[in-house]
Amino acid sequence: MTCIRFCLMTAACLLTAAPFVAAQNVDDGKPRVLTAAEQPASEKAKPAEVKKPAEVKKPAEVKTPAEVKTPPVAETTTDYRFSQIPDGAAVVLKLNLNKLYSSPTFKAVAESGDVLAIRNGLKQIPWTKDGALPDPIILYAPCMGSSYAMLVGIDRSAGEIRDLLAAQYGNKKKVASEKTGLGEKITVTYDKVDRKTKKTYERTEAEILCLTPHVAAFGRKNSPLDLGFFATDTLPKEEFAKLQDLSDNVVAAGLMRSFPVAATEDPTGLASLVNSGELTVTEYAPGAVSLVLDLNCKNAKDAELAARRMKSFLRITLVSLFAADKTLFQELNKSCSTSSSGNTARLEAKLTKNTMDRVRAFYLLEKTVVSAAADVASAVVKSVTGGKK
Amino acid sequence: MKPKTKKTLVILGSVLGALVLLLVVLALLVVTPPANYVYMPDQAEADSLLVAEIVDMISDSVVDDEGNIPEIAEVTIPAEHVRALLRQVAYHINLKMKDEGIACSLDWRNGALEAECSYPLSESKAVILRGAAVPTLKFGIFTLKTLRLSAGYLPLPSSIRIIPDGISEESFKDEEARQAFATIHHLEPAEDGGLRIGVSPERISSLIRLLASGD
Repeated sequence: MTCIRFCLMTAACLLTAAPFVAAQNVDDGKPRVLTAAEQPASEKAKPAEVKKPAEVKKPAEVKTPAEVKTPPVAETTTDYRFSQIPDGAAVVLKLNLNKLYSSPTFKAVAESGDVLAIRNGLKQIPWTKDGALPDPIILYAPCMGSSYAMLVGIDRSAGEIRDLLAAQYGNKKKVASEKTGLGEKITVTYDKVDRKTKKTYERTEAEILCLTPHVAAFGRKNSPLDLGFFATDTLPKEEFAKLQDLSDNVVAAGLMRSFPVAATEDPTGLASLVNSGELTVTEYAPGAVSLVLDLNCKNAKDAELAARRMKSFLRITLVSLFAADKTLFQELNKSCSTSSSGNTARLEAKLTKNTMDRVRAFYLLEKTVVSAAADVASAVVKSVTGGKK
Repeated sequence: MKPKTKKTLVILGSVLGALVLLLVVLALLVVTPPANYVYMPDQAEADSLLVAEIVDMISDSVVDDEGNIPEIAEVTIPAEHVRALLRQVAYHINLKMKDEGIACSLDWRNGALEAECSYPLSESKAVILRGAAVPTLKFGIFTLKTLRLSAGYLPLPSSIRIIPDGISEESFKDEEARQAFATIHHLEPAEDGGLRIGVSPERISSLIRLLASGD
């Protein structure tokens, strides 16, 4: 359920945010498509746990009412995808942080939500030699003891990171490292005095587990790493390397699976219908954004119902955010559609540069939209983590 | 002992005895074994679908056929759906109150809200309050008009007002709750036994936040 809620809320959030994150330059204005040669061997060999968009048939029949038109999906290219989710995780989400922060308009949203906490956490660690901020892969794992962990690309050794952190913090924080069966683990701690008892206790600021020479897992004080999780995960190491490789035109890409939940915890009625889902937000042309959310359901009837549920949720989201500008709402309403085909329910949105310019202008004028979008973003994390954050 | 004093003591004793007897009778009428409202998984699953349909109904009402947003979107929720929603609400209340031993059941019949609340006195004794009331929300004030009320087997006067002054937006200290309350423009029982509700589409974002947070 949490991942379905995440799925919907992320879609809603990114739908709102996408216009602001459209980068000004794309290599050739077209998304890059991974060639067969670029696909990792592990992906070729293993059957994907969730159907990739390319394998999902185009919606042939639109099940939703006539006013919701299905735009052609040929231009919407998912050039990055995860082939599987580690055991225990509900969602794996790649955020193109650098892209999100390249737009001053989007920055206002990103800095009012949990994205800022992710970015600030990453900024503390010297991940790369050139000092660039890596784009994180976030593992939302309700089965873990913590809220989420991040996977980050590194080009430094564990020893280098440890030494740099030690030099950075001096006497203010302790930097320690230990060998584990999974790799070297670096821990940054500091002493804190309890106001009531006046006792000093040690708090963990950051944990870095170097899983491979190129990939580290990162946990923070509110979401410490769960070594047991990484010890049992089934994600092969070559997949970690692949996860770093996100082309510039993808703003966010995620894969999620449904965890069984009680019916009373399913206000959208989707959890019982969906097995897994995939989300991709792409800049399909300069200044234009495409969002595709595919939910793989148990059967065609469930897929039809899931499309209906998504339509309801999308409509309410758009009304709540854009009701003050009715023509803009209508434009957005026409740009978004839901459909079902076979066992897949699809939500897609294609926002032209013109639409996005209008949204951007509205966004800047209406502070309430910023607030609502930030709330939605917070709700995403809360729903995914079950309020444990 | 003087006869007068004796007579006074007898009268006093009789009055006290009568009072004790009355209290015993009242206690017997009021105090019952605690109620346990079990929410069966099958029922919860069926209710979940009905509640999701309510979201569909609201979604359909916030945009008309031409794609316009009405100032107030009105939707009539069938009684069956209202009952499903109330059962889920009661389930969540019971989860929160589990430690205190308080349990409640909510239902919707003939255009009225029916409620039962079990307040524990001990492990085997409780006071169960039962009541039926008609909810309305007009001009920003939510009221419950009492139809009947009882404690255990003891009927109470229906003139007792459950919410003496009504509930308005100002009644909420929490901003989120205040906004969610403001989303509802009007609410009243429908002629067919359902619930007619008018929502303000422009304020509906608070509804999303509630859904998203799962509160």
